[in-house]
Amino acid sequence: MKDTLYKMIHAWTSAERFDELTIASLSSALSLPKNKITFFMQDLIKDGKIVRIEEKPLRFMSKKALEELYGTPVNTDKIPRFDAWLASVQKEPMDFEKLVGYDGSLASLVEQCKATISYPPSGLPLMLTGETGTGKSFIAQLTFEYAKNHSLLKPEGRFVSINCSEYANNPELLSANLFGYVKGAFTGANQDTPGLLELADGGVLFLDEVHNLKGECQEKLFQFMDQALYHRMGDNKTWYSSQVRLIFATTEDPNQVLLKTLQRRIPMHLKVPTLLQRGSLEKIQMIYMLFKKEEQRLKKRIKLSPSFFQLLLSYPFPENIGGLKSTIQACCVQALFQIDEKDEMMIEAHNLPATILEHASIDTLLKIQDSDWIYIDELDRNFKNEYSTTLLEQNAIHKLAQTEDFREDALHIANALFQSSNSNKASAFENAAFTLVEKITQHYHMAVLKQESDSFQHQLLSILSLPLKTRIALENKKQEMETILGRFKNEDFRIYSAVLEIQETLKNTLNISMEPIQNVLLGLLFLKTFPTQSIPKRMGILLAHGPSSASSIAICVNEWLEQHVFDAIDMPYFMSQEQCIEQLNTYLKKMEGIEELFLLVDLGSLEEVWKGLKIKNVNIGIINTLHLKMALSIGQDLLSSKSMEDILEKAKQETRASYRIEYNREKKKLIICSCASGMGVAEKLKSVIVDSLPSESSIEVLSYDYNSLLQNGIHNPNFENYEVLCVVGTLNPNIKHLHFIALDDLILQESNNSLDQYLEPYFSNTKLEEFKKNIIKNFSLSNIMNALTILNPTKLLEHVADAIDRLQKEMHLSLSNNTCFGLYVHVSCLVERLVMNRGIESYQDIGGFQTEQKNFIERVKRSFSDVEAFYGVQIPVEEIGYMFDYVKNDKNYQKCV
Amino acid sequence: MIKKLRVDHRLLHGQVAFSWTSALNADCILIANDSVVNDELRKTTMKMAKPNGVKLVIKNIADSIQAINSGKTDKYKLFIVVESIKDAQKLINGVDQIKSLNLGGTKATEQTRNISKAMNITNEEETILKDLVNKGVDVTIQMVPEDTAIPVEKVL
Repeated sequence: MKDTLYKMIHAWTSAERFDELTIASLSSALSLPKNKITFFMQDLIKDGKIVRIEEKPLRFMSKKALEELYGTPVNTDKIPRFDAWLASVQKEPMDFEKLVGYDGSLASLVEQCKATISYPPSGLPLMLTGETGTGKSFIAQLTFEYAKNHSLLKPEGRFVSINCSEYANNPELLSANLFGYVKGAFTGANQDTPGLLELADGGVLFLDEVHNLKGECQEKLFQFMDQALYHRMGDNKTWYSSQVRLIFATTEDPNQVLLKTLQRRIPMHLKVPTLLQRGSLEKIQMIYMLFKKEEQRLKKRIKLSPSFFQLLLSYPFPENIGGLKSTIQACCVQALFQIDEKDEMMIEAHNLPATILEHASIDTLLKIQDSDWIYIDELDRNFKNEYSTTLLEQNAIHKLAQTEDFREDALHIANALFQSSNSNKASAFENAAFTLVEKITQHYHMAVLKQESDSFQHQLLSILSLPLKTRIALENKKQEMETILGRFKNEDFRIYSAVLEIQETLKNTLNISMEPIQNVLLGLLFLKTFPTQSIPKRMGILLAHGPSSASSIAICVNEWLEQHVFDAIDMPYFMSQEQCIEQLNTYLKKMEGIEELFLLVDLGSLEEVWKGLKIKNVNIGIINTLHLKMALSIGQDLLSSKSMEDILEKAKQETRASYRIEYNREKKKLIICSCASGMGVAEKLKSVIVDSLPSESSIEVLSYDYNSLLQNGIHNPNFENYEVLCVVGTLNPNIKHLHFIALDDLILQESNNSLDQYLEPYFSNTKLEEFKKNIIKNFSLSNIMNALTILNPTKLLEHVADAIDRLQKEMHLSLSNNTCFGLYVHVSCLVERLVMNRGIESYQDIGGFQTEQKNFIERVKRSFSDVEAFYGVQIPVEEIGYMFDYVKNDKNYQKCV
Repeated sequence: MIKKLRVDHRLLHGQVAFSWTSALNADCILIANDSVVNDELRKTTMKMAKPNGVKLVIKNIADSIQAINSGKTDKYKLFIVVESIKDAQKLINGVDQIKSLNLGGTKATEQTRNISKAMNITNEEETILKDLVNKGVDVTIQMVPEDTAIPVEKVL
């Protein structure tokens, strides 16, 4: 057992699976209890076979394997910090090994540099192009180092570099520096001076920003390139020779800035990619190296906040590595005094320059959870490890893009990928995203089983917050992931559309951009959670024109029936019948095993659809109508045991439409006045009602001949534009749907059938009360018109009505309408009588009345004081007696007494 | 039995309805008028003014005469109200049993003269009244039962 354990430790160490060499993972890998493992470990250490890494988590590694890996003896049985040990034993990188990406994005460029500089007998001129800050100078320098390391140069050969842009305004000086000059060549040339060509003899001359080299100088240069001979400035006779390998660099297009003749002499043009093109992994490596340099300079451990790190990573850096470098240096300066108790320098997001902070998109900022600090060393190691753990995903994707049996393999892979669920606490942001996703999956009838709900949620969240590292590691798999999504589309349209909808919704609502890898993982998760849609015996398909007609109905019905009964095919309206059938056939291919298929199509003849279908051993019922009601009815029956014929026959029967028109256009309300006794009365009635309606009323009142009403009913062009509320009159015309209000009822307002009930919807209660009072008043007015001689009836009635109102209040009594009416008329005449000095001076048993109705007399006096004052009269007690006659006959009064 | 024939331009109103009806102990009021018959509004007014327990009949003059003479109204203690002196004359001429006439009130116009507090008559009406008096009809002016009845010849 001890041997097995050792073998495993040795194998894992050799494979650089350093992180897995813990007790826990070894115990689970070997299915041995941890205490046993620990026991064997102590033995193995005693035997000197393994070494203990003392930082947490405790790890054990094979000495022999480490020695083989790093070519250095391991003379200890414990290593306090593995990173530090690694750094101490790893050999210094040689020339191009110092270049981040020499084995990655720059691998072919490096090979070409090597080839160019090694080209016999003395290398070839090399032109490096690329944006500013991409590392052209560094590559030139490394090319020199490489040549030196491989003894292609003279031992004393040097790397000489000149930046032509420094001489942009003084080409003479550049020539002088390049080729050297003799004494007196120009003012200030006090002695013979060698040029850079001479200095670089046997080495490499690097001309940076070569586009700043003036034409004259370029000519001299290609002369030299042809013959390896040149003149010093001011001396056109003496030839000097120099064995120099030339490397040029420019940020410009060489075709635009260099003489053709010079260009022709530089056979090798290499373009250095931008930082963006280098990919995130290399960028992280650069960040690591740049910070590492700062750590060494500051002699402090540096740790980064996750948000700082992510912002740094997401910023595109137009100045490329140069920009990254200066930003990192600036941040270190910024954070110079941000030292914690452990003497570690903390660099946080706010240390970044404003331009980078401003560039950060909302979702980057939101997605970041500041949790643990990232140490610079971790940056290097963990990314390498993360890279290897995402190998599973990488392999999965590679396999999925090519597999024959997509569904089967995808399911396997999904099961493997989503095995474990780590229950991170979700942020509010992630919860919002989860809710959205859940809603969409419901649309697609992908309901999560209760018992799976938790793990589904965790897995979903782990996809939504997929570690940046994983995303980066899979960056180069974009093509394959597109392929996989395409396969989802063919194999499981439901999942494909759900994934697309989720991607779009998250983008639009939460500004989360889903990477292709996340889409693929989402698809896989759905595939695992909502396994193969089992093909039922019967199924319905809705086929309709319009962007979502069919699918909307299908979704609706499926939701109602709580079962996936209908699939839908939406057809663009311009799609031809043939194309429709084509699409239908594609769909049908996937429905193998189905016994009965119900096809609801919105347009097109049955025969044409029928003829085009290519499916065997299936009964297909086609019905050429498609609407929600029918789909629901067929859907319901589909789930029952009814036969196909019965179902479709029933659907056919039910298709008959019925209709009803509701003339709802807002019409003017109308009250018709119509009296059997003639138009005269109808007119009077009309004016009473019109005068009584509230002033803002839009209700119209028309007088209409009674006999015509009897004959024509209300189907009369005169009433066409109105909604007739009711007819008011003396005789009920007994017309269907026409409400009749008898004149008596109108005035007495005591029965249930009064006009105000029809007016209720249009007026407030106060207005309605006012209307009722007005009716009595105006009705009275029409009566006193004839009776009065000298007084203005309208004005008089106003006064009298007010007084009688007051009297009722005094008596705490509401007199019935006919009493009021009687009193209105009577008192109006009474006032005129008094004005004309013709008051009645006798009343039966006036003495008795005076004593018995003392209160009433006083109340009348009080109520009528205004009237008396206005008309300059006194109402004698006898007249009050006659008023009392009305009151005592009132039924409301009698009830009170 | 005809209790009383009254001229009142307002026809049936409070005084007529309450004072006279009870004073006469009438159980039926006949409004004899050619225009009210066709005026539902006024009819309604009348109905409203009518005291409880009293029957209200509205007929034109001719029909009224016919109804009274036919004996149909004999079972009622009848109180007849007409609008004008002219209508009263028609009725008196048509119905033998009417021997008296009560003048309640007529409206003042430019052509009328005032003969009592409530009575305003034209020359034509004065002639009619004189005729009636001459024929032996007992014509008196009395607004309410409590007033003293004044023979019309005193004011003519």
